[in-house]
Amino acid sequence: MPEKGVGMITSGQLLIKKCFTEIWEKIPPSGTLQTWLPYHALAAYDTRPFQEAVAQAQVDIRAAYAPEAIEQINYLCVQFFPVFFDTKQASWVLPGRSHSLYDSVLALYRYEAHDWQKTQKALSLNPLELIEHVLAMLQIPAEDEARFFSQLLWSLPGWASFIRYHSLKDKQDHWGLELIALRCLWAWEYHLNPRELMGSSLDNVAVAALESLVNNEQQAETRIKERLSCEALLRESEPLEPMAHVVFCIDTRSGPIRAALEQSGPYTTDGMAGFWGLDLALCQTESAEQYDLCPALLQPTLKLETIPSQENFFQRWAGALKTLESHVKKQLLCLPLWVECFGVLCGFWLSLFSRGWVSQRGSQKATEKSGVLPSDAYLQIPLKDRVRYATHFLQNLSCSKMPPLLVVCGHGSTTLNNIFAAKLQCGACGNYRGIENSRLMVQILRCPQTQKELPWDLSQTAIIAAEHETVHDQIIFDAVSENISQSLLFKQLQHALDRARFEIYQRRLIGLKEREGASLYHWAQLRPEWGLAGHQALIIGPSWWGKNLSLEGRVFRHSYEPGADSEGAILQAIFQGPVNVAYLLNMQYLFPSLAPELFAAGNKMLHQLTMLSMVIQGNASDLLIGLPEQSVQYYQGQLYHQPSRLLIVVYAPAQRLINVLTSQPELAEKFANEWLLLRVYDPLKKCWLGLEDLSLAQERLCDASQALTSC
Amino acid sequence: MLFVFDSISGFFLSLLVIVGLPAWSYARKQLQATQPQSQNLLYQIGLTLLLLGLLACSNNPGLFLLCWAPLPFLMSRLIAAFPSKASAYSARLAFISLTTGTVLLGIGCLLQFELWQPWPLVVPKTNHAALCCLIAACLIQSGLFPAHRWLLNSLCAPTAVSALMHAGFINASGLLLLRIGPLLQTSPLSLLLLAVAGGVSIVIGLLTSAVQADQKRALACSTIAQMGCLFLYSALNLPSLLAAHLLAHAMYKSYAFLGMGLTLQEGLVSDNPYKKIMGIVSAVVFVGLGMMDSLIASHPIVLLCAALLGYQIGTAPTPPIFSILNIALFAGILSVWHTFFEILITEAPSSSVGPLVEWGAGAVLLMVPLFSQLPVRYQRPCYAFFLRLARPDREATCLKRGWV
Repeated sequence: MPEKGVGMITSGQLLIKKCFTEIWEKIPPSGTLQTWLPYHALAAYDTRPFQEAVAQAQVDIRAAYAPEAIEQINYLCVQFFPVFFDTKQASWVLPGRSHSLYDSVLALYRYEAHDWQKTQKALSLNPLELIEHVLAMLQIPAEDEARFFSQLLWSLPGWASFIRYHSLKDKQDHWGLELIALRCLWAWEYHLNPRELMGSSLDNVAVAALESLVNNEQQAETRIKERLSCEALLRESEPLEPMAHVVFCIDTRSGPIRAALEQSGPYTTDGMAGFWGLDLALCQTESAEQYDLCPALLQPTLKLETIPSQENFFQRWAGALKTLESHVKKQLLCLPLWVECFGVLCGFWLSLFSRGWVSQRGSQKATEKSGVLPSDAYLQIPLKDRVRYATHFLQNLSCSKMPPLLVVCGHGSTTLNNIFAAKLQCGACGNYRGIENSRLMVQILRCPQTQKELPWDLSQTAIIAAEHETVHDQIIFDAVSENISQSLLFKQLQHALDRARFEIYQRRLIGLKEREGASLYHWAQLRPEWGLAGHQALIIGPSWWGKNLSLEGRVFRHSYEPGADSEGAILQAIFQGPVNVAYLLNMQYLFPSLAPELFAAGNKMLHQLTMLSMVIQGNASDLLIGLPEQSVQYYQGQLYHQPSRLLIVVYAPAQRLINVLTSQPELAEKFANEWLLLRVYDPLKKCWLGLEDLSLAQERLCDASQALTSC
Repeated sequence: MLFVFDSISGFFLSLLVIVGLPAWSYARKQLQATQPQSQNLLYQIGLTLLLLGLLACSNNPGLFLLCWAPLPFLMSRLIAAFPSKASAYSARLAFISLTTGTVLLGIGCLLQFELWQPWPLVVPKTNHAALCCLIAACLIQSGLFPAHRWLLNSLCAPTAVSALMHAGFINASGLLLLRIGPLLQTSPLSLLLLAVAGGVSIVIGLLTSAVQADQKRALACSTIAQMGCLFLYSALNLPSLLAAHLLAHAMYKSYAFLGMGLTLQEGLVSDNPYKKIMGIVSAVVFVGLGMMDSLIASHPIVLLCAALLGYQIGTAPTPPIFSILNIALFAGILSVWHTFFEILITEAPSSSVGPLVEWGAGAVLLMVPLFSQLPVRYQRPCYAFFLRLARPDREATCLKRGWV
């Protein structure tokens, strides 16, 4: 390869770099199938009003009308980029892979160069020089550069955001520039007409979609407000002594079982973010891969080591076979004979399990990647922190006196052969099952040293961890000791839960429009459950508030006792954490249902994995990011999740809300720009307030205080 | 009699049951959840399975041809189950390739056989041209190099269809090779052709699958290699190995396609302190078992592969107890499986070009792992070549996305 010219960066190049960086930072990082990031598709626009931002994004992102040459450029990209980023699938890795995407790809591309002279030129230049050269050759004036870059990136959105994700994760900032340099080179070689790329006009087509969005929201709001006002007025007297208190995640799927349990007897429940405030990360050894079991907004500080999960002999053998398969597959020469050995086993496995006749839940559990926490994991945490975590947890509970039985219940979904399985797990636990966090919280609460330091009396309370299995709506208790499991209280609770489960299971089967129950373990199961689809609102209020609404599974419900929070610190924390997480989850569902062509991840029936971490469709396609069609639609074109922005409903005095919003200007801006909708029920005045009322009140307050100071 | 139920048809029918029914059930389940109003895909899968079943039972070349003839059309419909520009292109490509294969099959049969004469065929004089036509038909049906394009462009089909294609449909050529096996042995030219096509496809299939980052594409490339194996076995006159391999590969592929999401789960990894010793022991076990089998013992390539496989199973990063169990399990499976098929399918007299083919193929095969050991300067063009070879056509891809 010819030597590259090493020179100073000229001022023209600096301008280009600056212009590009601005565009590049608007690309949302994609994450992989497992990770989820504190971003959404239009995160770069969320400082503007919602409607305006969508319109602006639409103008920026309109590659649908791109010319033919773009297809050729994309074709080359999707052929070369995967082999550069792949670390898991291929057994023959890219020879001479360096840190530079540009060099590695050009080294392969030169053997099939479309226009050898131009490729040779590219080989002799560095990315920035090449971009400058191509811009000059295509005669793109300086004022159009930004538009040209943004169109080149947004015509392959999946890869652009994947490379942005990786350049952030692997700390390789130059990959963005190298990506655009390669696309510029190919645009030049395949005679892309830049005016065709940039000049296409677009009518405001999203208007219709946005109108129906606003319509949906208004309908939902009216219904929710009606129900909630009724509940607030007709408040039933609380049961004096609850027999047991169950703490659930705020997740919409926990709603039905909460409501059903409360109706079935003297039980109370609470909802709070399912990681229970534990910013936990698990790893098998100090140096091994780390699994963050907390919202992506947080950096985990609590890093604990796990032990391999408890499995029976055959489950472990199945795990060993899995390892063996991936080991032998990389040895090319034994492949033909290996297929013969392993194939016989596969045939047996396929006939037995693929149709879901036999439950395979065990084998799913056998391969929990992160391992499980040992029963003395809490000892790895200093006492001071344990008390802090316990206090945070307990102060969110609505019960004034500790009940005899306290259940900490996370949630997780058991699905088989589903590449989107992580999206069905607990969002607050970083797309993992919530059981580990619950286990740790229970350990902390049970610890006598911690109990001594706490203002609450936990000595008479039996504390149990459990997991709400959302596919079957089953509550699975974790390691219950002999004397608890024999007690009448526990047996009654189990009975009540079984009844609750039966009731909501019936209700859900009607919703699914088919007899799903018998074949949840079928390998072809596209939709073991609806996940969060259909959610409309986040209700922050006392635990009795919103009970009837949550039976439908369409609202997140976070407990908040205005009476116990005179300083407003708890509300403050709720707005900082759960509201932000729910906002991001809402955006994850909003855009795939609003513009499936761009933000949904295609049809599950046609998917395949690439690099063992991303999804593509068909022979070759752009990387598909976000939720698949089947997560938001019944059938082609028939939506299940009606797009709507998240409605936040708060049961608190207006003044407290004003304080919260003034101290969190970023969130207040989101409310003002209508990315989130806010309605407040003031328990003192017994009336509903919108954001306008709050800001009016705030202005009046400001005026008053100014008047006071001037006096 | 039009139909025959012998060991070959029995084995192929059982293949269809093991592989076809899960694929059908998979497609049915997914269609229920996405488009319950249109069930065409199901009927087409059912019809394909039925035709393949009839193919297995047909007692003469005439009926065989009749059952084979509609398959290209059906397969192209299945590939384009979800209509788009890309899938229409892939379907057309498959239709043209497979129809060419059918025409070649027809020509071969007409030139060589009396159409309604039952198997096993006895012909007065071997017609080399006709046999070459038949081999070419098999080659196209299996997607071997140089007729691999239709297979590698067909991944726009739904997963269930891909499973059916790679595990059922393309094996029709294996069935044909079994049926005309005794005849092929009388023509050294066709044996040579089989061996060359098989050997080249094994090498290309293995290397193209090794460079792929896409999961289904890697599987499709490895199908080419496995089908190449069938051709090689046929050239070496090993019908029982051919049948054993065919069935095992079909089961493996349909598992790999249908259970695609299962690959995301991670296995049980741990350090094995005795892995060198175990590797050697297990290599010895595998070779020993091969030596005891009279059929395999005379084929050094198979023995070499067995030794390598044994070594790899022994050195896998699993706990020692499971390594031992795995060695026992797979050694057991392999010997039982081969013995079963040796009893099931009787051998013909040994091949005339055997040693030549065998040493040639062995030499080519040993080159496969060497590619990734070359210095980067020489390795890169090879890598680029194999990457390009398995690429889908541009027209068969859908690369436009945007805010419509």
